Amino acid sequence: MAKKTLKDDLVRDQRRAANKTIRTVARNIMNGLADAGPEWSGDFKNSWASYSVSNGQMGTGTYPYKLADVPDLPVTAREMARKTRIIIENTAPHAAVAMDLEPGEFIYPGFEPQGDVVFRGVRRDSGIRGDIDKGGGGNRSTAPLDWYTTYARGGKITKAVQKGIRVVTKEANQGRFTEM
Amino acid sequence: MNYQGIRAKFESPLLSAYNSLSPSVPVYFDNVFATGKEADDEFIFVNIQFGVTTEATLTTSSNYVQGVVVVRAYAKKGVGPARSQALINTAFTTLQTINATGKPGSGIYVRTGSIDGPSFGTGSTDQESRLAFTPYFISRIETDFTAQVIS
Repeated sequence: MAKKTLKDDLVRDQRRAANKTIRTVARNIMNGLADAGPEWSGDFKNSWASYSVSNGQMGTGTYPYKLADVPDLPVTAREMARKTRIIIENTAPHAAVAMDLEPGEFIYPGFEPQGDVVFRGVRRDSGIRGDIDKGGGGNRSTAPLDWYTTYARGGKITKAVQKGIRVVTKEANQGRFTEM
Repeated sequence: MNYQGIRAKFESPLLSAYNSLSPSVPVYFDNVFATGKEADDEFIFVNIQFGVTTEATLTTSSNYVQGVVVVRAYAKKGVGPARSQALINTAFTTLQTINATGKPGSGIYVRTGSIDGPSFGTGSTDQESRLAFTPYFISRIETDFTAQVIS
């Protein structure tokens, strides 16, 4: 067996740091999406999950998501070379409706929303969750229309990535890097 | 920051494009009282949202606004996708024209990212579902944008 060298150790540490950065970014994005999205019963907000493309291991949790809610990633050269390491998705059955991507059916569940109401009025025939017009109706929305598209494509996701990189780099620079 | 000016960069051309169709198609924007919508056989709904205004790590300029434009075209349900596709195509060509406009010496300069879609949805056709009563076939495109205010 080949003798382990200092270089091997350094490479391994670098890969661990890269993996932690990816996991930190994933956690930030899950929390960002949970923050930005609607919250009536909390089902949708607590259904963000991430899974490792390498082995399919899924990490779940509840808001606020922690680093431990994101699966560990392998440090082999093959896995490090993957373009996609982690996939984030919402596992709620009504996720596409909550993200304003599909029309939905809205029935009062018998209890008030946990999240702040951002709009109240009449939900129009479009059936889109956030498409509520002014008026005397009792329909309420707890996130603005197209909140998901705004988060994903409006620059906020880039901020979450930058913050994740900054946090782990700072830890490493200060010599207090840990894997968790 | 001239948010209204940035909005106008998208809203004005879209409004003109749909007004110039024959017959013209009503366009509704954010925060416009639009209870007449349901009376229309077809209409367009444009949603512009701002995501980030400053990018301090890249530049000291705060004139770097990012956001998204989502255009939904509502057409009659049950008559095939052709009309819905024609309506959403007007939005697509308008956004492409905006993107091809040169950078001005002053004023507002916008550039869009990739245009995603169109995606189509009718909701459910299940007679027991309230969605079955939605009278529209909806197509949707979205794009992100960055905007600069040049003075």
